[in-house]
This record gives sequence, structure tokens and C-alpha cells, in this order.
Amino acid sequence: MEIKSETTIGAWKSSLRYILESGKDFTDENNRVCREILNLVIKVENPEKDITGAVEILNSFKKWVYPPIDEIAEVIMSRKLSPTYSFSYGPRLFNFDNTINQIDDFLIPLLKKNNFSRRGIVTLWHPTEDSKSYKREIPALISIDFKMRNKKLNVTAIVRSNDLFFGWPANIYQIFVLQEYVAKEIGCKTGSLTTFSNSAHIFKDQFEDIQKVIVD
Amino acid sequence: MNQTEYNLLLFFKKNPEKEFSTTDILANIFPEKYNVIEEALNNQFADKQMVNEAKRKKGQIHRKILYYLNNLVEEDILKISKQGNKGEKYFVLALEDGEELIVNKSKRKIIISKPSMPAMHIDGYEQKNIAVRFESATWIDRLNTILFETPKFKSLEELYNTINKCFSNINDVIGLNDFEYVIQNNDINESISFLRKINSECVDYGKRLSCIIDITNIEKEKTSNVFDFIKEYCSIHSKNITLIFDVRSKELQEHSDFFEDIINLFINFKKRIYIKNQDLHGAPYILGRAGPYCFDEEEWLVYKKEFQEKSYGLACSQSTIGIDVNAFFKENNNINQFRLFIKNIVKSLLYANSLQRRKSDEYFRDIVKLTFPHVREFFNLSKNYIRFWNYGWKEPDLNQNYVIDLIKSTKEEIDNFSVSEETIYQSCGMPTRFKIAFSCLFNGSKFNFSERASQKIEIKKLEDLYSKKVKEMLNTKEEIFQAFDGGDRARFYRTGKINSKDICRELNIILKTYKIPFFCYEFSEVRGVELKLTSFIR
Repeated sequence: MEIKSETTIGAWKSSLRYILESGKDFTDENNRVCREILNLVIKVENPEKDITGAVEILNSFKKWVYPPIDEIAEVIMSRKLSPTYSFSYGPRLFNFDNTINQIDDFLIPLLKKNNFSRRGIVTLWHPTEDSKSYKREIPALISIDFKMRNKKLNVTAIVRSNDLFFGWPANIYQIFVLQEYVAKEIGCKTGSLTTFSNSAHIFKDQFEDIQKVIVD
Repeated sequence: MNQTEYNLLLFFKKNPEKEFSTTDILANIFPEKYNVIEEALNNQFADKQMVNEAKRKKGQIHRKILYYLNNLVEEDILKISKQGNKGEKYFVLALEDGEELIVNKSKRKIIISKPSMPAMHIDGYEQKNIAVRFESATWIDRLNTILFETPKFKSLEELYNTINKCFSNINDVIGLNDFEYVIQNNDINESISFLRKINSECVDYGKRLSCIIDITNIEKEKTSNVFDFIKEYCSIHSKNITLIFDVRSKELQEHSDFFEDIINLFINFKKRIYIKNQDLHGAPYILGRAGPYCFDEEEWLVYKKEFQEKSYGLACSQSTIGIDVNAFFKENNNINQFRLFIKNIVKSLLYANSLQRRKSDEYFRDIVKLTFPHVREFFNLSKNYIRFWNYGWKEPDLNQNYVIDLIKSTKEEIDNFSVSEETIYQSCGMPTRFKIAFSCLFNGSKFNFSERASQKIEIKKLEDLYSKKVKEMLNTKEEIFQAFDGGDRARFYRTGKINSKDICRELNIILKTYKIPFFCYEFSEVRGVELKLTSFIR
């Protein structure tokens, strides 16, 4: 299933509605009732229009505290792993396994050299670290693909497990921050942003709040 | 502008909110020179000449840096924030929050700004003296307390240096786990010298130490070492160092002779003895100025099994907020308002943790260095504290069950909130820990809180432990211990006729009868105690 929208908020609300109406329920390992759609594609044509919109909506609820927007961005742009995180996206991108800066030393030079390259992919999954069944905290964002077409940088991210209500708004913003950084470095505009969620899900305990978001 | 002056300004520009000692500044401005000197000073095999030379050089660069620092103070760019007992000066930027400073000298221009701390939920409550950030100046850039696994340190010198370094990363107390290992595996004179030196550092830096002695691990042939150490401890009357005896009732009986001798020391020096009941709580307790700290039992067991062997230690508490319950209810006689108030406090702590996370490399540099590559594990058991002052315990007119139920139900709500915050953060790609612990606050009057409203648990004789009044008090205290997952302390005032045998029996009764994991026996109100020579001869 593919959901397309001009805006981030539009894509988010449509996806939430679709999962709520068509998802299948199951109880996960943490005993939470989860409603899921497998392999959901969400495409935002013009993410820059309202990229922080979904985060702002979540921020308006008093029931919880959503992470500050600059901290969300730091997670993907920071080269250093904060000792208080068990992993972080930034170090995986900019210093994978202390061996390669996938963004500055591979992706950007590659796309500068060959605008139409089909090899512009970076990975966040580290098999020797993450392929351990006892580990509780592993990345959900697996890889990000960059394609430059019509002088615009289009990005597709693979997300293995995606909490569409709380997680997606932050994920889409993080990917956009990275997209913007790369686009600036290679001298082009940002294009569309697509997420491919292997498991796009929402939780039963969020249904009431999701309804409020969809109706608004 | 001279290069050193320029480097100093850049250093403060990078850390506009922080306070630095002259030594901290020295280590950052002249890192190479400083490291060479420190290596020489800490080198066990260095000869006297080498050490003297290192001391001379240290004095030299100290004077040099002070020259520039004092110039910046004169120019109103820096100010001296405090002075340690040994005379070491601490410096901060002479800027208010949100202010900007432009230093324009010989073609070089540096702009230093101090960001204003955004408004937090706690601000309004602080103005009304209902809540307080413990050590507000270092609320975010320091941890409250950390625990060191003393057997991991190769020498007393290494332990001493590490504690000293980490004082600039904490704002309350350091716990030393399995401290009996230190006493038993070092020459007694060296241990005593360590005690005196570290006590003096604690006084200078205004920090506390909790030395946890596990009675189970005391070897028979080493009891005299332990006794001598404790005797020295009692005689120096340290206010900054606490010995905590980690005991089981069975062991107390088995080692009763030895324990009676120890109790005698505490009685004679009119000191408080702290006991942790290992049968009830296996994880360590640490005693700070803010109050007691402890680890969660289940988490501690996992740590023991999987990590303790590799670990130098771990963080116990990140940030603390104290609240005056009595003052709150004077203003708002409403339980829902109280729950909302606590939730707002938790939100402030969440925000504090977010700031800490983003700058943890910089804030906890020494700890990160020490624990590398197990830095993440160091924070695995850490939590934030909400401490209650005048919450009704022992207030004669208050229904105790009501207070306990309120604390318990509020805690449940806060735990749910913390779990959902962890889930939110995790789903945003920030797998982080956020835990809140409840505990009691010490010395609330120091924070301009309401007058202490409490009654003492006074014991004149063994039978008092069975009296209706004491029993009732202790049963309530048991309930409070359950509600305060961050630890609590019961304090018994011992008066009347006294001898160590009776005290030993009383301690045993408390250990066996009451679910009170941590308590102290206060001997300061005992009169007419005479020092018995026999107790010192062993």
C-alpha cells in the first residue's frame, strides 16, 4: 500500500487513519495490543512545506513530553555517541563502526561525481552489533537511499519497525535534516521523502489520541 | 591579545554556564604540560627529585594561569565563584543568563554569550519555596552520586586520585562499594592515611563519601585492621564520610564479639552507626547531603551477574528536586493538584536529562574516560530523585495511611509516565533511560522549607522496640520504605543506660523483626559514657 501526500501532516494523518481502519491486531512481546500494516509506503512530495508539523501536533498534548526538535535533529547529525544512548543514528552514519563516514566520505562525493548514481545508499544496521536476539535496543531505521533526479534529491528510508504515531514524525524530520544537509553539500534542492515501513503500527492505548489527531 | 588569554576566553565561550577550578582550567589550557606533570606526580617509581621538579613546574604554570585569570577578573569578564579550603579559586563568567559579552582586543574579537535557561515547570514552585533544585548551580552538569567498585582499583593511590578527579563531576556523594576490601588488602597505616587525606579533600570540595563495609566479607585474621580503621574513623569525627555496615542478622550474631567492639567505639565517640539490612535490600545504599540513595534490587542483580566484574562503578542519581509537601498543601488543599505538581516536577527532570544527554561527553569527561568502553553501562542504573520534606511521617495529627496511599498512587502514575516517555524517546531513535525515584529529603530548612514537623524514635531499652508506640511508628516506616523506592532511613535515638551487648541485641531485633532496610542508631544523646580501654586493646 502506498500513501502519497503533498505535506507531512497530510501523509501522517492518512497513514494513521489507514492503519486504524485496516490494520491487523496482535499482542507484542511487551504485552501491548498493536495494530499493524506490513510494508507500508508513505511518500511526502514536498516535505519542506511542513516538516515539523507532526512534531508540533504531538507537542501540543499535555499528557506527554515529546523530545525537543533540536535533540531529534542531533540524533541523526551528531558524530558522537552520547554515553546515555545505547546507539544513535548520527555515529552510525558519520562514523560507522569507527571506520567510515558514510555521508561525507562516500555519499556526497559519489553524488557530486555522478548525479544519477544508483549506489547512494547508507546503512544504519550493524549486524555484528544488532543481530543479537537478547539486545533490547536496536535501530529501527535500517538504511537510507538517495537518488538525484530532475535536480532534486529524493530520499527513501527503510524502517523495520515504525510506531506511526510517536515515531514517524521524529523519523521523517531526522531524515529530512539529513536530506537537507546532503542536498546543500551537492548543490541541489530537496525532493520527495519516502518511508518504507516493514511494520507500520500503532498501539491500542494510543487510539483515543490518534482519533483526536485525525479529526483535527 | 595574548594566546593564553585568547585560549582562556575560548574555553569559557565553549562552557558559558560552567564553574571551573584553577586546576580544571590548567588541565584544559595547558593539557600537554599538565599531563606530563600529573604523570610524574602519580608515578609510584618516580624519585624525589623528579617529584620535586614536577611540583615546581606545576607551581609555575599555576601561577601563570592565575595571572591571566586574575586579569580577566579585574576586567569583569570572569568572577571568582568560590574558594576551596586549600585556597583553590573557582571561576565563572561574569555574565547573567541571556547576556552577551564582546571582548575586542588587538584585532581579535570574541563574543561570549550565556544562553538563558528556558522556563521550566519548577520555576514557579521554587519562587514559593515549595520545590528546590538540589545544588541548582550544578543541577545539570553534574551527577548527584556515583558508586565505585573499590576492588577494581589497583592501589589506594589510584582510588584516591579517581575520587578526587570525579569530585568535579558530582554534586553530592560518592559511594565506595565493598570498602572492606580496601581495609583488608592494604597496610593499616596506609588505609588510615588514605582516610585522613580523603576526608580533607571531602571537606575542601564539600562532598560526601559513603564507605560500604560488607560484614560477610570480613576475614577473621583481618578484624584488627578493620577495627583500627573504624577507631580512626570515629576519632576524626568526620562529617563528610559515612561508614555503612552491610549486615545480615545471622552474621551479626556470628560476629557478635567483633560487632560489640565496633558498637563500643561508636558509643564512646557518640557517633551515629549506619546499618543496612542485606536480607531486605542487597543493593548498596549511599548517604548524601540530600538524603539516602539506593539502587533498584532487580536491576542490581542483573548488574551483578552481567557487569560488576568489568565495572569501575556506576551512576546512581542524575538530578534531584526536593519538595515541601507541607508547604504545598498549605497553598493547595487538593490531591489532584498535588499529582499535577509532581508530574510537572518530573517534566523538569525530563528536560534536565535531555540537556545532560546532549552534553554528557563534556560534563562527565573524567567519568567517560574512566569507564570507557563501558560508558553506556555506567548510566544503566541511574535515575532522578524527587525528595519529600515534611510529608507527614510522624506528624501526630495526620492519618499516616492517607499519606502513604497518596505517595504510592502518585508513584504509580509517575512510573507509567516515565515508561511512556521512554517509549516515545525510543520510537524517535533515542533509546534512553528515564527513571524517577521517590525518597526523603534531609535538612529541608536549609532550602527555606517549612519547619521540621516530626517526632523522634527514642529507645531507652530493648523492650521499647516492642512498645505499642514504637511498633506503630516502625510499621508506618515499613510502609514508607515500600513507597520510597529510592530509599529511606529510620533514625533511632538511643538514650538511657547503654552497653554494646544490649545495642547488638536491639540491632538484631530490628534486623529480624522489621522490614526496615536502612537505619541508624544515634548515640549523641547518650550521657555519661566513658571510654573503656579494653575496647581499644584488641
